Amino acid sequence: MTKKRITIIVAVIISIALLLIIILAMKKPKETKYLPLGSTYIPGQDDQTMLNDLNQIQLTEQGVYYISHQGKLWFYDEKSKISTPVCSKLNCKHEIYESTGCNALFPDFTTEIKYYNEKLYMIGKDGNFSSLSQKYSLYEISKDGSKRKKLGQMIVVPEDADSYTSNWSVHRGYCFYSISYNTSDNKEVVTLNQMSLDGTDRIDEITRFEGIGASISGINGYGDNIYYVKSKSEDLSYDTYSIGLYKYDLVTKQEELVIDKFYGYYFISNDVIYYDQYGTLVAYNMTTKEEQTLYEFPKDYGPWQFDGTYFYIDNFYEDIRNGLENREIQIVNTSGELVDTINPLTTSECFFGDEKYLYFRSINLEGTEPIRLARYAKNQITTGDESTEVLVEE
Amino acid sequence: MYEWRRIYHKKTVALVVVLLLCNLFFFIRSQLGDENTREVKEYERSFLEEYEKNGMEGIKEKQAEGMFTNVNEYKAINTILSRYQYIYDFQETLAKMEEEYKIKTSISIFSDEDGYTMSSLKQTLKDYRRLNDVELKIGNDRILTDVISFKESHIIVIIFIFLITIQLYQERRKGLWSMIYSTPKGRIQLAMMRGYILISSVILFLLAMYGSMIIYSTITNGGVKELGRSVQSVLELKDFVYPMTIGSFFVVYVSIQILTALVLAMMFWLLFSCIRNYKVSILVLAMLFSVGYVLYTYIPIQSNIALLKYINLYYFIDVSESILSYQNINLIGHAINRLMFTVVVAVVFVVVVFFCTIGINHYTRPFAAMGKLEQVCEWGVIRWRRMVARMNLMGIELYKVLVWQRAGLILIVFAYLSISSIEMDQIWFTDEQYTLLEFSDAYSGPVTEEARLHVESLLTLYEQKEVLKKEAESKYQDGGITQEEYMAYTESLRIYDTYLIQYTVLTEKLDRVDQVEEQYGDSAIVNELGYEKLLGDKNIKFHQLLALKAMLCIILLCAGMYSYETKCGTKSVVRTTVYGRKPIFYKKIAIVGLLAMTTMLITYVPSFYQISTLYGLGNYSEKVYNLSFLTNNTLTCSIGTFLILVYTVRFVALFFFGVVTLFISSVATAEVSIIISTILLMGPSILSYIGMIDIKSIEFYHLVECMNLYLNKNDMVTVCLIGLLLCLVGGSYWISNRIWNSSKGGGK
Repeated sequence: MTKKRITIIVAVIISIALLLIIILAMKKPKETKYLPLGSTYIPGQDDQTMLNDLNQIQLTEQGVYYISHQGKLWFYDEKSKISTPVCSKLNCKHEIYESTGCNALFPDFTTEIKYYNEKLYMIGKDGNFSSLSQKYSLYEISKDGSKRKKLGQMIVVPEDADSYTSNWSVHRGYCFYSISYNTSDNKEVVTLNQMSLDGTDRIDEITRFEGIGASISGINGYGDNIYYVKSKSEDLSYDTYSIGLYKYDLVTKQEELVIDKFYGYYFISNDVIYYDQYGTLVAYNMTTKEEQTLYEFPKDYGPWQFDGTYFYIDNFYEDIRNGLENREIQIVNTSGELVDTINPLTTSECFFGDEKYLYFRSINLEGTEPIRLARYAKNQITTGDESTEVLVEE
Repeated sequence: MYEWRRIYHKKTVALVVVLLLCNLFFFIRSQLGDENTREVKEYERSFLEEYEKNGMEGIKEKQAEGMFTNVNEYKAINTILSRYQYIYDFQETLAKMEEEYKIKTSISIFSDEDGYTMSSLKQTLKDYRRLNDVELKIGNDRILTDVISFKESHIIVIIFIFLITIQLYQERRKGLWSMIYSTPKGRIQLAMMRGYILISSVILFLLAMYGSMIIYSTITNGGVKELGRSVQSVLELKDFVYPMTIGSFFVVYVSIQILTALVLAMMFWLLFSCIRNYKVSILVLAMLFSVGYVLYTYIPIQSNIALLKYINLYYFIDVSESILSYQNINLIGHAINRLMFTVVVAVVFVVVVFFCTIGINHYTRPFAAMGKLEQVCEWGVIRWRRMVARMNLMGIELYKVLVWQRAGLILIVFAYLSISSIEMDQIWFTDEQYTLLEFSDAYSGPVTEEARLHVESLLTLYEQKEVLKKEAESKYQDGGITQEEYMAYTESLRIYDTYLIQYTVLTEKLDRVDQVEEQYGDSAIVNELGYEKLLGDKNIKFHQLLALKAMLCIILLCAGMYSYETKCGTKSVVRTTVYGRKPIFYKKIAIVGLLAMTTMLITYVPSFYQISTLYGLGNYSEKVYNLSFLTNNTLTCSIGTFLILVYTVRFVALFFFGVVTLFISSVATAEVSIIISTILLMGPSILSYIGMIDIKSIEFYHLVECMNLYLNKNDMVTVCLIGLLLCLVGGSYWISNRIWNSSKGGGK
């Protein structure tokens, strides 16, 4: 065989190999089948819907992660009862100008965290926050903050779009997020997407619709389903405005309208949806399709939460407008009876929490108070004790 | 020895000396800085002397009570105090680190014994424990910071390495490779000798380069006694975990710089050895640097592939960050100090590549068909040449200047220098300047009643002070408040004094505007601060330096335009062609025009951008006499038109300088043209700039900065300079015309 012929054969083989690599790289990763895990809450795997939707704290078996408004990630260790920025560098002061590359600082990220399977998840802007780029990616961060991995691009805002909103949730191996952006004809295009967290960078579109003021909000994962609120209007008059709570089944991949004419917060426990029906707390049984009125919300209230035992009704939003003078959290049981009214940290925002604690973040109205994360033990309910434990202070 | 002599022939030696001098010149320039920097340094020195005599109390008091005369003194106080505080807290910081270690290791997410995080914690503590017994002493830290913060030296090193490596394989370009390859010592021995020369050259050059910088820095920043302080006394070196004196640190620093320069040199040598075509080698090098830049810039240190940040060619250009900051690298779960990692990688790389390249030199044969890449390049070159051949006379001439005579490269270098010299740091405005800026922004344009009312309201606000003071006084006398409260209250009323300052400044401004209204009947409030910086004579040194830069640039660009023909031996041929005399002559003049315009733009656009961003220019449509420093100017055009006129004058001056250089190049080589033109056009200006002479009528840079012209100063100087320049243009034109355009000239 001549040298020329050998060269040609080698060139052909290399070309074919390259072509295969390109085809494989372009091909969408094979769809992984979702295996049903049941409706029971699985710690470390499921969306932490017992917290409010600010996404600033995440609870783990080892402790509490908290990201401050300045983009500094803290960890409160339950074992040692010590809090620290999630950076193991001894010579680091965890300041933005540090040359050490602090692991606890996330200047180009949104100040929201999610926890799933021993990893943290955050949304970072491609480029940096001062750049004009409108592309956001999902990052996977190791528990000790020492590793960051870009999983894939989530959001690309089209150049002609005016704005976008995004609501996201991490649940049982997937990140669910909505994108909404304005089009030139004053309509919003909204999509709900599902990104796999297994590193395959696979993104599937669950639903897409458009309309005036169209949006998807309140994305929450419960069991093998994802729930979300869809709203839109057909024309500018808003007469055709529709809003409803939808469910997406991860196993069957079917979308279903659960409650029509639905507003506000909702929580789900044992197949019952607890939601706010124009100022009344209502329980809707998804199996029997029966509705039961539980409690009349007080005049100024919101937000509220249900932890499986009690409802916690906070008047924070209204009270902050009135100068935080009559702050209170009403505690109501599932029979609709007011059990207690607590007032632990009048100037702090409540993240709610698990069956043991309510978490509070100080809001710095005057810019003089330190940033503080504290918690209130729920075993103090009805005892009159309102002491709190400070977890993070800076 | 023959190889040494071959590589270091006169031209190379001259270039090396020029590189060393350039480095020293830029270093001294960066040290001297502008007037503000010099003043800050002076204050720092005086505070250090005061500290040695009386301790830090006096300086602390000055800061606490705001007893500083200007921003520069304030900056110096802050610098000295922050350094003092660092030294004062040093042992405490180390103790805190021990405590922090205990805390971190007790936290569940960090306490995996086999993981990288725990390994990093242990390594960091072990490294910092070395500093426990170090004694810190405050002193003039600029002795060290000036050297390590000077980045231009890395560019000079790359140019030097390129210069030497390209000299190594001259025989390949001259067609002598096969002959040398066939000689008994033409393979391994020659390659070893070349490797030895390259390594020795790099070491000697860096020793000379850093040696001169260190000596200068030592002389100007406190002298030899500063070398005995521990290096950790310098705030910037707080994370350098090896205890030593500043003197020893300089030895270590230069050694590391030599090592990293050797990495680059070995890479250059390897590529020039592997790839027969040196142009392809340059292309590959450029690609490697670009890839390295992307990896170094965009990979976050928390990434799984963070190691690639530190194993690439770009990183080795400047490893100062690894020296100045403490960081560990995750090497398969083990924490390795980044500086040590860098040194080990560099040593291994240099040794391995040295022997590999010798092997490559032994096995690379001179006879070979063109490689695929070379074939592609050749294909591109042929097409490119065809395209060039289709150009018209102007295009060809422009191509010759920009590509063959490397004017394009000169323009890029000057553009880089121009852009890199601008500082976009936030400006510290005085209260008066800030008041004027705010007022001009809010009320720019013709004076309105609203603007006057605003000024009056400031006086009313100030007058409230007396009322409040009287109220407090009567309360104090009635016993309503204590004496301390009364004193504290009256002290707090000092804030009202700022209204008086603002009122005074703005009243003066309005008076000036009223005067202009009276004189011209058309006045407006204009933000003058930016224009004062851009055109005023308070910033004259800066304008003179820009003018010198522009003049040097145009001289370098035009010096080879005619001499290139002589050098290539095409002078006689060109003159016999149809377009070889007058047409080519005028085309060259037109090209000088283009080059003058480009020079003017790359020199002045960055400074214009800087001033307009920091100070805010505007009001282009208002009349020029609204600027107080131009009120007596005879021009009555708008500010925008005036700016165009100023830049046009600068362009014309540069054009004439270019023309003179062009004509000189018709009778001399490029090098001689540069020397003659520089002496003739720039000599007196340089001497005047450094303060050695003051004969304005022969300092041509006044024509480029052109302040004499519009500030109505020294009209005779401008006339003399224009006359002298025109004489030079005329004289050189006459000579050039005789040689190139006349049928009798250019006998040689």
